[in-house]
Amino acid sequence: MNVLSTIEIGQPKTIVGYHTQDATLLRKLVTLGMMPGIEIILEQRFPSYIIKLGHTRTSIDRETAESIFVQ
Amino acid sequence: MNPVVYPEPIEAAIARLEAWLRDLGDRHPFPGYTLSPRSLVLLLLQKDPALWEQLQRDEEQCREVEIEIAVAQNQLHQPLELAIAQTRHQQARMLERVALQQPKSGTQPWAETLHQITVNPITGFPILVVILYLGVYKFVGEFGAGELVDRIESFFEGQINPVVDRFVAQTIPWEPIQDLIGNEYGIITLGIRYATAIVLPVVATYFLMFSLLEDSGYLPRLSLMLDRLFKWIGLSGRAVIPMVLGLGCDTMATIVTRTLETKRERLIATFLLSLAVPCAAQWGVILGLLAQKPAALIFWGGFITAIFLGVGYLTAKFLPGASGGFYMEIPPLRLPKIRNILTKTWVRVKWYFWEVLPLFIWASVFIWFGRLTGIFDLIIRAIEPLTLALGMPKESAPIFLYGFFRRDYGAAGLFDLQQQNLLTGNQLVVAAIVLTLFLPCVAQLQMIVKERGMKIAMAMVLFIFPFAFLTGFIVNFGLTQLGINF
Repeated sequence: MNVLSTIEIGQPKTIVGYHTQDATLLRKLVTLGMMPGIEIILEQRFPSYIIKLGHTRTSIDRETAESIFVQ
Repeated sequence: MNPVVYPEPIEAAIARLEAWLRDLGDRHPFPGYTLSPRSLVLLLLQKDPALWEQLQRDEEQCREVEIEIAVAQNQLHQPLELAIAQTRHQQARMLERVALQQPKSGTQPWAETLHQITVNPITGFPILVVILYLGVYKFVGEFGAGELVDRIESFFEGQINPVVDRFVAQTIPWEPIQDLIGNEYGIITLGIRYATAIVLPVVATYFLMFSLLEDSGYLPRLSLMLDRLFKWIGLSGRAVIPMVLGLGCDTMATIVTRTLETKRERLIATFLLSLAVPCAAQWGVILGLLAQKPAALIFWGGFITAIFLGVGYLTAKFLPGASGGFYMEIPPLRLPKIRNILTKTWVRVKWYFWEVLPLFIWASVFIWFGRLTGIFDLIIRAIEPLTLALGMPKESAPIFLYGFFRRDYGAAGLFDLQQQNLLTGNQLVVAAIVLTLFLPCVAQLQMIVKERGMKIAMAMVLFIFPFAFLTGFIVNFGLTQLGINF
């Protein structure tokens, strides 16, 4: 299990859980489709993290990327 | 098609709450809602804020729902809200599998390449600078605020003002009424002239550019590129949109700060908009004023940027609380439809013009009243020592007063003074800096009161007023001491 911010770029990974108690952030992640069981690909880290999931792309900051566990 | 079926504990809670709602009869907590009972119950289980606010009026009912939530939650190994979302997501994916056939090359290659180069830091930052330079500086600044303003202004000066002045002189026997409509500060000769000749072209070109960026999908990319920089001043990439909008109209941008996540972010954004983000009408005029002196223009731009970042950094450091997180969907880049852009621009310009025209007319009437009663002379005389302290001629005192009614109004007044060659390069720079930092226009002040409350609005006013003058004083002093002449 790894934190999303540390994984390799371009490798498909599956979200397994969250590392945050922030209810607003959790709700937002769920709305963006970032929930357990979903496959994602990290595309870049700087200036912001860009994540591809399904047919969409999402940009998040480092703090958010550090609060998602993937496998 | 199968209906969405949630995990057993949730379905059980839904069934019990549905029955409970039905049995309440007259005491139904949401009589006005036309949603199905199942949808209502699902919203309650997800702690929908609007429904819960209504539910909390009845303590007993509130407890009933809370117990059901606790029972369901106890049997689930993940948060209830997440379980609901996941079930829906799975259903959506299943539908997608059944309904969607994806050809081998799904995305258009050019859009994909373009996306990559706009977000890659090596190519992305130069592209960002070029887009802002061409879109904001060249198109809005030089074309809108320069070329178009000049043409419409000279049309007014040459064709309309003389006719109005002659007409009022011939038909109206009282001088005060003549001044209300025509002459130097009349409703038509000043108020309507400023609104149509200065604000309209600037705002129209600005909205055109903004709609283009919006429809092409570039704006979210602008946000993700600048998120780290904005974190430094206590904001997030989300605040890029109100800030760029502020370069068009600060009043509108203050409304848009609503979209920011935390109260702290909204406060910082509103404050920075009021202090250090000049609106298009304002920087358009300043650009025109300093156009012949590139060094002065760069100094002004650099100084205001430094104030923006410096004050932002300090505010973020001393204001308690954490920065909001940044998460944003990045839509694919698309070729905008000209028709949509024109419609959007037209609607926005129309809205803005009718919003702003009465304010200009009121400002004219106010100035007329203030001059007629002599109140303005008193205030101007009180400001004169301040302007002298800034190294400005006394003639510039009215500009600071009129700038209070509308920032751009003041900047436009400065333009008139410069046309008469009354100001040196240094005086122009100091005036431009003070007017940029100065209190926002009346409309924006009203918006701050509305969005942030009277107390915060007053605190901002009490800071910005002395800060603007003090900064002007320091800049003038510094330039004189160092012997710099623009």
